[in-house]
Amino acid sequence: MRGALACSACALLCSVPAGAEGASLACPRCAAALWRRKPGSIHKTWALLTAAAILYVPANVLPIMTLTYLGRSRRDTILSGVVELFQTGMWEIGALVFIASITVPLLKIVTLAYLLITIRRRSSLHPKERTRLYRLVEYIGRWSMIDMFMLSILVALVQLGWLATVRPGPGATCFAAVVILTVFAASSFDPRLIWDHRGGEQ
Amino acid sequence: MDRSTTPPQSAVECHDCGQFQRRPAVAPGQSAYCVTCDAKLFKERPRGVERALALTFAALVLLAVANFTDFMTFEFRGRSQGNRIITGVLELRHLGYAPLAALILVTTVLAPLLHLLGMFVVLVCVEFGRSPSWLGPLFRRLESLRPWAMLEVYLLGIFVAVIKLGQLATIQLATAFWAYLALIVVATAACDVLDTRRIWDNVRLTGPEGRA
Repeated sequence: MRGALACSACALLCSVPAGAEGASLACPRCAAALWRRKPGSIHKTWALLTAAAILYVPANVLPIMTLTYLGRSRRDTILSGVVELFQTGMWEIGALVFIASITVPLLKIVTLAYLLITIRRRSSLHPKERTRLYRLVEYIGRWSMIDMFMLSILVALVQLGWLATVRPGPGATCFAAVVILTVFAASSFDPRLIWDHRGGEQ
Repeated sequence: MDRSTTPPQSAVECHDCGQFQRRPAVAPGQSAYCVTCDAKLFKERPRGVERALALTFAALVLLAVANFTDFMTFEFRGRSQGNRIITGVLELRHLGYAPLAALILVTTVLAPLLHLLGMFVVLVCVEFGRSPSWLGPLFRRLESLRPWAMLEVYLLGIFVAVIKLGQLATIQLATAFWAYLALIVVATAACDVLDTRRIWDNVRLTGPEGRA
């Protein structure tokens, strides 16, 4: 439908006067800026993804916490925390933390990068599946916060002087940054771009 | 910025693929799907506003209980300690991890609280047929707040913490934990009984031509 577009926030169908394409229009219902596609979506998403991918390394390599128990200290990275859960026989919880903290952020970064690359290549293959993939990573991203929440609980509970203490480590800050960046990356991505290169039936 | 005018709302654009299509008529309880990509466009639900209003109010009460009571107590060699969400946030800030503390505060307290309060206001307006000029912009901002409210993830975080600490000490789940559990069920139901389109249909347009 030429001359009309839906508000990306409230879905109101708005008419765009001829020649006003690209001008700044506001939705008459929710006052959001009206765009046929989110402006600069690809560049913004790439920038946020790159930052997240870089920070993903220290988030996994640096310790996220130090547990001191009866005078002995151990520093845990996300992975060593998972390994410990496996070693103490709690492999279900270990698997949960592994999937949520290590796999999910990586999957989110890789999937969004894949979607951006296929858009750049003007791919017309499987747009439906690619859109579903986007909805999936948008939804599962939040679960990567499990480890950070667990950390905040341990830090508050285990403050028993010389008996036992838990302190956060620099990895935790990097990990929090990865979570924030990937949430913004997913919301700056415009899934309508996936459909812009369908062969012929525009 | 100019306000756009609106053509008749007999057509919708799919939010996933951008396909324009006739707005399908659906029976109560049924959903409408995009003709091109199968994404769900909206669902027609009976008495959604009243039910969502009741559930949102219940969720606000549960959120208050969840924030002002302990969600677990921890016993270690005769010493016991209670814990609330805010304890962890304050402790992290105290230890020099302010950004992490802020992220946890936003995702577990501020975003859920603002979202529920805002939804309550929006639903009261819709229920009584009022449409002040700030209703549309308010609801839009509430929708963008949603990815930041992560209470259900926090609940799983509590679970993992309990398992980890279980070897060290005696852990007892307390009132707030059960309040969170109920809150998540109630808040999920509140989102589920009402389609956002139903709210948008009640927001008056402020454009030059009014509702087209």
